[in-house]
Amino acid sequence: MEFEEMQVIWDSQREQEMYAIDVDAMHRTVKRKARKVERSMNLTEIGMMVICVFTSLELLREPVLEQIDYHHIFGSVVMLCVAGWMLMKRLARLKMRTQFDSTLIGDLDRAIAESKAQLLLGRTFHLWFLLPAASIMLVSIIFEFENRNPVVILGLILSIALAIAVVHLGIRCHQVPEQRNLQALRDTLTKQG
Amino acid sequence: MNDTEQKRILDEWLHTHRGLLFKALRAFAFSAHDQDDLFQEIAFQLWQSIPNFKGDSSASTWVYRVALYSAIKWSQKEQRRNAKHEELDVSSHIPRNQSSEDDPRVAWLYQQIGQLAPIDRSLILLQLEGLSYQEMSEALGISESNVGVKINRIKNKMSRQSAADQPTRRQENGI
Repeated sequence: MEFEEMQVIWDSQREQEMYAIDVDAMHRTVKRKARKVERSMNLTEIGMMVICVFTSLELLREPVLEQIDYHHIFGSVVMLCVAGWMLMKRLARLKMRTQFDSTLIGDLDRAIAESKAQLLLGRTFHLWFLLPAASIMLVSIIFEFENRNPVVILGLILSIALAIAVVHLGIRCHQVPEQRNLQALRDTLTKQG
Repeated sequence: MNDTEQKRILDEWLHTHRGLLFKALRAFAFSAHDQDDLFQEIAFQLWQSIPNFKGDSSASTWVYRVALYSAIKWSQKEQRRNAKHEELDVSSHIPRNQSSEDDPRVAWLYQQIGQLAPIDRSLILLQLEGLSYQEMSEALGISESNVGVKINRIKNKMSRQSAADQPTRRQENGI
């Protein structure tokens, strides 16, 4: 069959009835968006907790097993505090999830609340993670200044700057537009009653 | 722009371009649920795009661009999601008979289009809808010469596939 014949077949289609925007499909879309934000939050929280606990244990290794570098205990405690804080925030967020009913607006509000929590976590990343990490580094540099290679110190500072840049890029390119879209949909639905 | 005006424009766009939108739904989504889902996504993206439409291109080019990019993005996302859950043959998603009133040749045509890469699907839909290379180039953001090359490749591929499928289709149609 030549393409011209396919064109004839194509043109023979009669006009079909158009779809209508239906609430069920819209609800499914909203639920999917909420699940997406929740997955991302779960990954961030659990991932950060694992990193903090692992780092804390690693920092404890030398003071406990080899009886040296006791200043590492400070870092270990700081990391454990960060993990504990993250766990508390996570439990509060999981409790908050149950407050929304399973309607279109309820699920949309849940998605917006999750999205706001994610945005807040990203925007305060430098406070709850980078600041403690930098303080640990500072203590380490003070106590081990002579043994430290300047290149390693520079690398650590650069990695902090890179982490800040990556987090802010993620916020600007992904999280802010996502939250704006959800809020716009919420406003539209509210206005239309 | 207020909400009433935005809604009026959306309704007008959906009504004017319902032919292409319906065909795009069938070419990109292969079940009633998915078509419904994709339609909501396209309508949502069109709604959001209205304030950005400055009239630099025609409204139809704008609608085609938004609708087809939404369909391509949706289709890629669905593919990734399906790949995560289960490995399925792409053709198994394509119903042989979409509707009892369908001409089997139309169903076959959709089946062929559904097997193309997402960008090729968009191109062939626009070609079948009678758009010029320039309009396709504007709608999909690729050069006119690239459009020409791709369209020729797709036409040849579909013609070859048609020749290969002919005995089977005759058998199915009882010829």
